[in-house]
Amino acid sequence: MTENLIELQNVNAGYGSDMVLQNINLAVKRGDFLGIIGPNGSGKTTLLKIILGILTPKTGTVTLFGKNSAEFSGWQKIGYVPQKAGSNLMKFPITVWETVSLGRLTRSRWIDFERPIDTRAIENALQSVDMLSHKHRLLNELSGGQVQRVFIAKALASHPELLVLDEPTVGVDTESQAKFYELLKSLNREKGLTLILVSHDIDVVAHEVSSVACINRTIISHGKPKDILKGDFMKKLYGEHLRMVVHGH
Amino acid sequence: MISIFQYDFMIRAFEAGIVIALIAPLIGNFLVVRRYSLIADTLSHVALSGVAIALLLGTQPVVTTVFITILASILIEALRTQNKIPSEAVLAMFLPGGLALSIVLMSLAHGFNSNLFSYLFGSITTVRADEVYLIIVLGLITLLSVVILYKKLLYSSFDEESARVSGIQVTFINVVLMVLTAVTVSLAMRVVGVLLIGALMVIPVVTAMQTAKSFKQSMGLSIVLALTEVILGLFISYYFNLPAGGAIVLLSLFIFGVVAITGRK
Repeated sequence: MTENLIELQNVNAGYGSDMVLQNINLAVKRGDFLGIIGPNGSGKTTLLKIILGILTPKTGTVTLFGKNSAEFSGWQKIGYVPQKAGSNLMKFPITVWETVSLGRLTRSRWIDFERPIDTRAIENALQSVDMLSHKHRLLNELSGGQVQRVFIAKALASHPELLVLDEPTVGVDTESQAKFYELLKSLNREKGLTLILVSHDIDVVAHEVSSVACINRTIISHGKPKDILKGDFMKKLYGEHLRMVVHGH
Repeated sequence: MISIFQYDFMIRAFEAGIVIALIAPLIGNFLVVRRYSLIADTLSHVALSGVAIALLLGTQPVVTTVFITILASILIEALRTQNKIPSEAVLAMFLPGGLALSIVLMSLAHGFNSNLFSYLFGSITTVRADEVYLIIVLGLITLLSVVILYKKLLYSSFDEESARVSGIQVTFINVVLMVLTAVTVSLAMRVVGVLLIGALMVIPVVTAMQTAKSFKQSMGLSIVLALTEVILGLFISYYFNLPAGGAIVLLSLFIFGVVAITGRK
């Protein structure tokens, strides 16, 4: 039986008195490519924050790689590509190499000199997203799609077993988005990387992921895209006014 | 040329100036990319309260200034992370607050005196030998802290959330940066004065960023620029009988102007 990398049981979480998430039960198995969808304010980012250990749930248990999240210390096993990852770049003179090297940092290392093992890991990460030839370029000189590849490389540099992506293609053109999802699929299928992708783009989720969790403060449904993305579930999630137009790829 | 080094006060000014030119842009790089450049100005106004306390109690101004600016920097960081008040509003509260406290304390110390002006605008002739030793020791501690924490400071400045996910203690790193800023402001006060410290932490950095091809290069270039500006500024100050702080800052602005016009990437 495939191991659960993440397991949330009866999780309630929020900010102050506002309980954004109620009674969340969710398991992510090794090798999954899970898409999380839901309307604005549905708690998608809050759910990610709990998985990433940034937010502690009010009640319930979170198990990461078989350990309670409070006792979990292997954060290098989880790579993270944040929402609007490149929004602070305009005046930041940081190169592709410098950015990816940040992915090698961990809590346990106090002096941050680059070791040969780090250099190799950075080179491999850049190679896997086809950005090694751009290693000396400034990040703010790259296109939106290239920047997202660099952020994936940064997340891959610590050799994670799970990659969490929060709306990674916001502001990226359609052609680059297609290449980006191809890259994610190859990381999932060829390298066995487990992926969690939060996206507002239902079309992308329908075609790219292996399972979908629909969330609106609680899990509305969780299963294969073809079973979940039917009118009934989607109307429950987004309201009666929803009209589904499915594109063939 | 030789005559400038015949005076002990000029040698002390160069020693203190070189240490400050090394650490001010080092810290300034992290502040500028965080869009937090005004913290230096804010803390420099708070630093004036430290000077006022020292004048009131008759103690060493650098010591009281370091203490009070560290305290203020920790309070500013605590208010900023609570997210209840916008960051710039926190600075806008502490800046006049620091100035107000210093005015009240000065008044208690029986009025303003000429010594105050040496702290406001810097006075190389009044830097004492014990102050130079203190500046060198604290400057070395600041330098070492940045070398050790360089990548954690960079990551926390670049993407705080991802740094937190990586297990980096971002809150601790942010407090360290604020404390290092406070120490740098307190040390720079004697050479360029509290009203001009912010310029030394920001102008060489934004000048370097015009042409830098990496963050490390930006740090290196800004240090070279600050060293050049401080050393040349001290020469100009001595030979033309001008205030050192003003000469250094105007020279920094002039170099920024030249680079901005001619040196764009």
